[in-house]
Amino acid sequence: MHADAQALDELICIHCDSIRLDAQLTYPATGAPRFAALVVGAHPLLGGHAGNNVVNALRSGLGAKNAIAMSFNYRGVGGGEPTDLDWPRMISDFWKSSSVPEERLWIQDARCALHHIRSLAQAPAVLIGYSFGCHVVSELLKSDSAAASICISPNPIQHDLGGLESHPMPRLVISSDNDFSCPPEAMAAWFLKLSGNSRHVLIPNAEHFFRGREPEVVDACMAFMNDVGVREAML
Amino acid sequence: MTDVFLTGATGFLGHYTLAALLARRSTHVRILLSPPAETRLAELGNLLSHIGVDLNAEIRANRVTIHEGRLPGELGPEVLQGVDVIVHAAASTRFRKTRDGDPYRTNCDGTASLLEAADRADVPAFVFVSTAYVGGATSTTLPEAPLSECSPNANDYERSKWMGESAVRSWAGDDRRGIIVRPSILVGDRATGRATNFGGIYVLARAVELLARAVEETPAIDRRNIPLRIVGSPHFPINIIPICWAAERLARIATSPANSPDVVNLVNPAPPSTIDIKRWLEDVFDIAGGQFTQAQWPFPDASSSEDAFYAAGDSVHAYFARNLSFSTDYLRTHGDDAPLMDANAFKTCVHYARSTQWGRRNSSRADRPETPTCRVDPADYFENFVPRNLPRSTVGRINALTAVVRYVIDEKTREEWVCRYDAGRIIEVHRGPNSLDENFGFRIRRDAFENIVTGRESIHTAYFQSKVEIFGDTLMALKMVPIMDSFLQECPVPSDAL
Repeated sequence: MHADAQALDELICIHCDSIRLDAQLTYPATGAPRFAALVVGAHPLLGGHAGNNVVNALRSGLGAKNAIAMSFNYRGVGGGEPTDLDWPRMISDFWKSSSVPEERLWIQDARCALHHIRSLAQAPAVLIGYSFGCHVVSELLKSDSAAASICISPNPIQHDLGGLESHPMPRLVISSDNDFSCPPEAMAAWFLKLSGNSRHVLIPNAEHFFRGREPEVVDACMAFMNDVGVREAML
Repeated sequence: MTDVFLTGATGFLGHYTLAALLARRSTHVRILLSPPAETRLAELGNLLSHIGVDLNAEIRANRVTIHEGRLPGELGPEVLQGVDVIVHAAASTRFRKTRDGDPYRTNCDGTASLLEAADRADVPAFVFVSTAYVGGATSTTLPEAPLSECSPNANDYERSKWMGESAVRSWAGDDRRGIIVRPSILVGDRATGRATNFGGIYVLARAVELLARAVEETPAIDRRNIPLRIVGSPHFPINIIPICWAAERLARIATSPANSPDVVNLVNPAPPSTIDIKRWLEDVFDIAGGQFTQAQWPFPDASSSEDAFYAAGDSVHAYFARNLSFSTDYLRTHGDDAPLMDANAFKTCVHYARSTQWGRRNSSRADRPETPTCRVDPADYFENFVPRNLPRSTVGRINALTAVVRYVIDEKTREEWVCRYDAGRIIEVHRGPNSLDENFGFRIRRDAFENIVTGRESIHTAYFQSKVEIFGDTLMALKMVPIMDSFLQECPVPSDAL
């Protein structure tokens, strides 16, 4: 456990389908958290893991601002428990089709993580997805609910984001105008599909990865959360 | 006094040709150097000093004149005024077309703009350095005559030379000579082995070195009976010629164009066979084995020895598979009918190449700054370590991995390697920018490179700290990251290697 002036960091384990997942939790040193944010990361077969710059910045940034925030490694990623996933076969499949059947397991991992953070804090849950994590959040919303959702660098061309489109909660989309995975026009077209109560923040020239622009992402998220008044809305 | 205009003077054949021209007392040579000419001039002076020519002294004696310029591009009218003969030795030897248009840009457009300038200046003779493999023929006797057709299987280099020949033939007329000279595969100085270019047959020698190293590390393999399938036939000729001989003949043709035919095959009249070259290389590297096969590389069931052997480059499997011979009428009329390479001369060339680490220590790179922060030699890593270890790693099972990947280590010094992966195997490794077109690449800071290959830092971490940059197809590059991570975790460079 690490303590600083405002937040505590804690490495924890989540159990999911008898697999142990590594997760990291950041929460305010004192007082009740305003909301509970689950940060869902990029695709493991594109190098996604809990140490990703955007994921890390969001977890620590939100945790420092009176939220409890959690990120986690999908099964098979990082130093977690060994699994029987066949990585060479998965990588081969993904190389050809940019998709693998195991993605449903990673969605299940996120569902376990969501249940876990809900068990830790009696606070409204906010789902935050980055890249492939947006698809995962969308899938979660087909069976779970949340007070709000945030999608960073979603890829509506590649991924099914239907779960986000129909949900009435407040939604924030953060993207850039030079994301290799989705041109701005396609992003704008997809944003129009979202029902009301949605906001789009464009951070120019930040590519898909927001390298060095992480504080802007965190600030946009906080501004959104303040504006929509998640806690009050849930109470 | 014959006034010669020479292009490509800083090249392998070019600087030997310049020396051969200056050895004739009645020549003046104008050389075209690309900007900045001061830098190129220093390089050329350094190259010539190794073969006994004092360039500054020749300039002071007014036997050499420098012109700054680049082809394709317009040359000032004064550059070619009064020139008796142009020797166009500048060339791109890229086998496949690159994004900047080479080899066509240099070999076709460059030749065309030089021919236009020659036309304006009324230059009476133009000697075009082509290749004995022009047109891409693989089993015929190449006549000393223009080729009417180019093989559909010709690579871009062979095709560009065929197009260059056509342009020269169109330019030639009753009042001006267009002479095409077709050298075969150049190797170093017969006596000393000295060379400055280690492509061509050296790629094959390098492949055998990689094979020998792989065998050294695999005690189960008998180094005297290595199981290796060699694409080709034991009795095909491999036409190699020593550089001094080629340069001397080219200088002779340039200074007496009236006595030269329109096309000269500058080839070894009695070349060694594939089995000769195989035996000579076995002697150098103290190994033996292998059987010739008609199968095509890549083999679906390739062994680790075969992976190591063929990883040196795509030309490896081409050298033993060509049954091409050449008309040598010009050479015979000049009494040039003796074999040009024997075992000793060939081994001398290979020993020299090895002593320079296949060009990494040659004189043209002597000015490179040392980089004390990196103790892992990137060349050794990409050319030896990766091809040796990749087949043993999990990556060898990622059978969908097919891509051409460029790795640039510290862009400032232009150290780069291109690796071609096919079905999870590494099929080729090329050094330098003169290589394949990549699908994507990674530009890695030198200090980060060492941390990454030793497993101290992940590619991801380095990327988010801007120590690694991606170029080309970003999605493919991202898909490559876990593959590289997997290899780096399984096969880090051991710390005791530092």
